[in-house]
Amino acid sequence: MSYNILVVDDSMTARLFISKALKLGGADIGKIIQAKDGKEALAILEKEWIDLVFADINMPEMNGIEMVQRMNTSGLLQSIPVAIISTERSETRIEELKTAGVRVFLHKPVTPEMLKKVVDTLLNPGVSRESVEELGA
Amino acid sequence: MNSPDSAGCPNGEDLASKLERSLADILEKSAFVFSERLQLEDFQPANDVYLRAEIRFTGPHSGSLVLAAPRSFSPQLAANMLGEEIEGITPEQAEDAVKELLNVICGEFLETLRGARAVYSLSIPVLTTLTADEVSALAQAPGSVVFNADDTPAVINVTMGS
Repeated sequence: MSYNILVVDDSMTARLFISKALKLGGADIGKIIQAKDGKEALAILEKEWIDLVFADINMPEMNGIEMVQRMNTSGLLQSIPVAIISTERSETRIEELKTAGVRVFLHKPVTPEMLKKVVDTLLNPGVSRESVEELGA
Repeated sequence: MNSPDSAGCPNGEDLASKLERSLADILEKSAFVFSERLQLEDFQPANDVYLRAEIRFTGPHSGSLVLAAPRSFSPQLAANMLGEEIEGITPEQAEDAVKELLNVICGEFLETLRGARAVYSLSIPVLTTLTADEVSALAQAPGSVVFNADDTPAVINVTMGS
C-alpha cells in the first residue's frame, strides 16, 4: 500500500528536501503534496486523501500549532497523524505539542532514514506508543 | 573567559564560540560545507553582492542572528542542501536556502545558549542584500564571527537584547 504525504513548510528548501528524502528513504510513498503554511495545508486536507502530515511550526498565515488545533476540531482530519519537523528545541514546547496530539517531533536537519522510520512507525497499525516516543528523540 | 550576564547568558567571546560551533555543525550536517573561523584582519569580502538573512528571536533573551554570504555562493549552498546539480538551482531556491540555513542555525544556537527547557519564538527569516562596505562594517560589529565556508568569506552576527 502506498501512502500519500503532505509536507507543510514555508521554506521551499525544506519542502523540497523533505519530499526528496521521503523518496530516497525507501518508504512506500504514493503522492507527496506540498503546502507553504497551515492554511494551505488545511485546504488540501479537505480535498485530498492524506495518510500523514509532516509540518513545520514557524510559518506565516497559519503556523503548525494552529494547524494541528484546527485538525483536532475536525472529525475527519483529527485521525491523520502529524509529525513536526522544526528548528524548535524546547522540550517544554514539544511536550505541549504532544499533548495537542502531535505524534512525533523531529529536529531539523533530518535524514531520509529518520523520515522512513516515522512513516513506517506511524502508519503501521501495530505500532506501540513507546516506539513512537522514541522517534521524537 | 567572560562571565555570564545576570540572566545566565554568555557574552563576548563565549557567545561567539557558541555561535561558531552551531554554524559549523549545521553547515556540515545540512549543506556538507566545512567552515573555518577567520581572524578579522584576515577577512576580505568577496567581490560580489552579499545576501543578508536575518532572523529574530524572543524568549529568555531576545535578539537576532544575521548571516551574510556572497550571492554567488547561494546556488552551491542550495544544491548541496537539496542534493541537486547546481545548474538546476533557481535564484529563488538559492535565496531560500540561505534563509533556511539561518533558521536551522538559530534553533541550534538557542539550545546551546539556554538549554532544552527554554522556550523561544523565532521570526520568519528575511532576506536583503549588502554591499562590500556594508559587509566589512558587519564583520567589525560586536557579536560577529567571520569565517570561510568552502573558501568563501562570510559573516554571522548575533545581537542580544534584554
